[in-house]
Amino acid sequence: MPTPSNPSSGAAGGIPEEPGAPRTSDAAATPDAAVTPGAPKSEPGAASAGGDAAPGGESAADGGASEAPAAQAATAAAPTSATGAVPESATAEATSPEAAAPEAADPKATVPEAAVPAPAASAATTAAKAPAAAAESVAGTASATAAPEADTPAATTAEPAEPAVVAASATSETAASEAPASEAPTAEAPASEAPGATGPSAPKASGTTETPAPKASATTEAPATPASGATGPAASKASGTAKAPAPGAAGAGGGKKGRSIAAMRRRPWIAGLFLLPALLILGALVVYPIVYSLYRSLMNADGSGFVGLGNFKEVFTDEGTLIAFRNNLVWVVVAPAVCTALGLIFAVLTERVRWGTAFKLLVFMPMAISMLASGIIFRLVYEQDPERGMANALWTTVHDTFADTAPWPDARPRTDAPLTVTEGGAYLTRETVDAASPVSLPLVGIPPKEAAGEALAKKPAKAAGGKVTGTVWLDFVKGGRSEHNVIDQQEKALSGITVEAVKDGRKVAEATTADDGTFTLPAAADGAKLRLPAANFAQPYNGIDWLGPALVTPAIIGSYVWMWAGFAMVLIAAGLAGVPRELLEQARVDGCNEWKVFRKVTVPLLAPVLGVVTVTLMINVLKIFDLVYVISPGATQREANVLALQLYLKSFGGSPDQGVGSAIAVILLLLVVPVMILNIRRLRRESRR
Amino acid sequence: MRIPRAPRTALALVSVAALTLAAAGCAKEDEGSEWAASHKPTVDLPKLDGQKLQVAAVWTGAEEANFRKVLDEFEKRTGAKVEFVPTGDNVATYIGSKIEGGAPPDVAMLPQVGVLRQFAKKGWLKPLGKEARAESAKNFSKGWRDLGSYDGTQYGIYFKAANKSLIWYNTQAFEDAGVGEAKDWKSFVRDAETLSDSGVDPVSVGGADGWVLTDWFENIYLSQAGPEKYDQLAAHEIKWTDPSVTKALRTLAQLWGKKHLLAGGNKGALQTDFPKSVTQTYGDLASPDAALVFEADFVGVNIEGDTKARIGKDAQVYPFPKVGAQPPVVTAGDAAAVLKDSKGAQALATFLASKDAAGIWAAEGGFISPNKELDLSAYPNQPQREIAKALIAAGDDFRFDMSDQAPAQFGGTKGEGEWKALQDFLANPKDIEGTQQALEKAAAKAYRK
Repeated sequence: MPTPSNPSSGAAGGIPEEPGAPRTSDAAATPDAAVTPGAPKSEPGAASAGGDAAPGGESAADGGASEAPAAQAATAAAPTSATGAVPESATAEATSPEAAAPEAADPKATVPEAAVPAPAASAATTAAKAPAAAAESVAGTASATAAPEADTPAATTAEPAEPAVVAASATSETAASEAPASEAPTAEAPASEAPGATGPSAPKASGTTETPAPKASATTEAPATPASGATGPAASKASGTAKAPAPGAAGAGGGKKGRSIAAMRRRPWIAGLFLLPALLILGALVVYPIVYSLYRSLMNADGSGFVGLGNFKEVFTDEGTLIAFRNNLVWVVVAPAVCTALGLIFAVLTERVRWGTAFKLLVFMPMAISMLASGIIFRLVYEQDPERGMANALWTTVHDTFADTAPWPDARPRTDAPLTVTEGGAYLTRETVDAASPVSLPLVGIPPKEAAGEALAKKPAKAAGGKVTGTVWLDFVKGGRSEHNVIDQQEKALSGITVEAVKDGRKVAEATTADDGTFTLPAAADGAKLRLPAANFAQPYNGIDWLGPALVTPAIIGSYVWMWAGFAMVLIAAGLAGVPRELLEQARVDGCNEWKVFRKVTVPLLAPVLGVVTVTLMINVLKIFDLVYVISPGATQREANVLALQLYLKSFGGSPDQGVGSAIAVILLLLVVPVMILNIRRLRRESRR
Repeated sequence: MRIPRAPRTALALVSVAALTLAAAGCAKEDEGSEWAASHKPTVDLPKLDGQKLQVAAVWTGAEEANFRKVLDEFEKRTGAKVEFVPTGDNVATYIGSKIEGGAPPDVAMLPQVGVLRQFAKKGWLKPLGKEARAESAKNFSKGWRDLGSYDGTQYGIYFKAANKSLIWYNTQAFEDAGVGEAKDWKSFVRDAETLSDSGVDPVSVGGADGWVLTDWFENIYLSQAGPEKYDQLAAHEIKWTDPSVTKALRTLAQLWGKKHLLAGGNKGALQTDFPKSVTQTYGDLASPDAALVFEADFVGVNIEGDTKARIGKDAQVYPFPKVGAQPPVVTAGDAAAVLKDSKGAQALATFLASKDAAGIWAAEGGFISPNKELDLSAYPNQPQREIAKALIAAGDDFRFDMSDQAPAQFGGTKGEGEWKALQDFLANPKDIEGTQQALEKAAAKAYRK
């Protein structure tokens, strides 16, 4: 008595309704009294416990074993109060409430271990009716045990602590009262399930778990206690109705696996009843759409007429859809492989560096971005204009470091100029030149602001000694009123242009224009044709046409890899953590170098993980839509098309034909199915191991 | 904070006064358009107190706000409540699903003539009432009324039109090059050469958007081959392999075939979407990336929204030069159609057919009405007036956008049909025959359905 009151009184200071709770639970002999006052306190905790454990509880109804985590979670939380951390789980759980029990649950019995079971046992013996009492008494315990941990935080925020204790105490009871160690694991499962089943608001919980009640009554031992641990809240809510305790008992009864399965066999409709909601939801959301898509794929555009396999024929003859097929194939082959390979490399390498976690975080971060957002990001990255697209900005910078830029990229001769454009982009004079008269080489097409700083063009002085002279200039003034092919006032010179003299296709001389546009060639140039090599006018390198027809799919796959390599890396890193170090050490001792260790030991050991990652990504890639839709520009959307996008475009695009759209959907489903089967098979194989 | 009683009362009074003033101010702004206030009603509308109407249209942003002003005036005159519902890009799909769901809007603004006919055929549209027809006959030329009709019954009123035969140019670039407004195609191409000589890329083509390219083709074809051929081709009565198409494409290649005449060259044009085609013409007024851009009157919206250029000063406009005998007038427009036959819906249709309604939006800008009775002074600036004048002057010789009349699969789908074929043509203007084959193949498939 004094022990529990300590924490509870501490709580009493904080939360007004609490003082009643532990005290009445101490006096649990009077059940009714215990229920009502215990209610306010124990309710939130247990209710939340129910909320947390609910899924576990449900799955336990079918499987039983799978909900162990819930119970473990309970223990995980419990150790805060538990002192002795005994490795074996059953005992660990037993000890944790033990530790709690002396503090809180003395009320009835003096022996700490028996403290909780005691009311339970007594309750259990009174069978079907008793649970109510048991419920209360342990409701008391539950709340009492909860109290030490829950007193500081407000009742509602105490969620994590309380379920832990409730579940733990419940298990301890089963474990303690049921002595046989072999039973403990199974018993522990239902225990944690008990709060799960009852925790949620009384009507629902009771509704679903009501039926197994009789079974619980058949089992005379501990089950009642978990029930009580859990029903306390329910009872408090439903104010001690006969229903409420039942579910808890049922949960415990479920622990007797064999019996419950037998019961299921005897009455299969029970299983059916349990499955019904799930089946209904699955049917409405999965089966019906599939069946309807199948049906729709055999109908025409507006769904009014039957066309047989016509839509499928259309799909396989439509060029756009065939491109989509081809692209999907490329995607499925390339994207998962590249992602997995990169993920593997990252995972293996980051394991060895100190800042590996930071790096992993960085690589994983794109996963946090939506496909749409990363699509927009990459649309900008791949922009053609190097001033706007990052990819081309990088590329042109690298390129221009190694290649010279032309002095006058836009310059070109007029059609009536004495220059012709040759195949290679060089400009060649129509006539041969001679030393007697200076040569005019007029060019146009240069933006005014680029030529603004140039000197005015000048007629060259007549050169002596048979040298050939001439001028290269911009034959255009603002307003366009200058005479063609004549150096007018205000026309600007073009400096820095290379002029070559060509005789019979051979270069005989070369000169560069001066600031005033003039040049002087040696006498050898007399009688030659003059050529302005293309290098003078080469367009500035504009980078790669990332989103052009040829590169658009690889470019989009690149953005996908950016997003998903992190996913692969994290999974593979997790797998890597499970690889026994000894094997690697052994290999090293045996004289393998790192590459060999990686190839012959690490990768084979990781094979299952790599398989999972690749297959998961394959399924993901088959459905790819957003990235393609966002990144590909209108002109090349067709070249970038994939099935999911084609499905959308056909169904809701310009000329909607949901018949064809459904046909594509069916085909897409058929494509995913083999991969799914592969995945399920492997899962089965692994679970059998 | 404690404030003694008397000052507190004063404060309250002051704030009440301020609120009242603010409310009054707002009310004044929301009063509706000045145009409606300064013009007498020309159409009789029934009293519709307490009735509720729903209008669906594709408009958003400024267009929605301006249309709202038109609806406000209707509410004021009739007492009905009108709710505006934006449909998103695909009006046909939106309204189709609404009708199938059993809750169509009362009135919908249909942007494509094909959709109007298709809906009328399905019986989804209600014929216009007597008043609406009378108002329409008074204000619209026969061509526009026919466009809103199906099987001899009028279903739609073309409330808003687009003139898609306009050349918008950068005044500074034209001055620098010393060129003016071209009257025919030959001088247009010659001017383009001169512009190029002057160091500016002459023509900005938004080739990433297929519809820009179809508009280019339609203008040349309409002017060169004439309205009859245009109608035949629109109905696919003649094939796309027809010599007239060859001729039009060859004409187009005179411009598209020369890299230096297109802003960014052919490749660059293909990567330019429509908004960018406008901003590269007007973005940098002193040294623009392009001297002119061809498209409809709604280029003005982009100029005002995305650039600093002022329409009428920095940005000027002239009609598409004639290629054949007559300059082309290709149009598009939104037709008001009644989906639920009620007094209110018919009254709204009647109102939208009147020049009262057209004037309200015209005064706000960014709007051209095919209403021939609307005085040109209703438009806010000279370019708008000229655009409207060209539209009205065309009489019945204007033609509705051909790609909008075609099945969407051919004329309105990204990466397919006409859009795709003309994009390929822009990429390689030498391949006229291949383009025609591709067009015909896609058209045959689309029209067969």
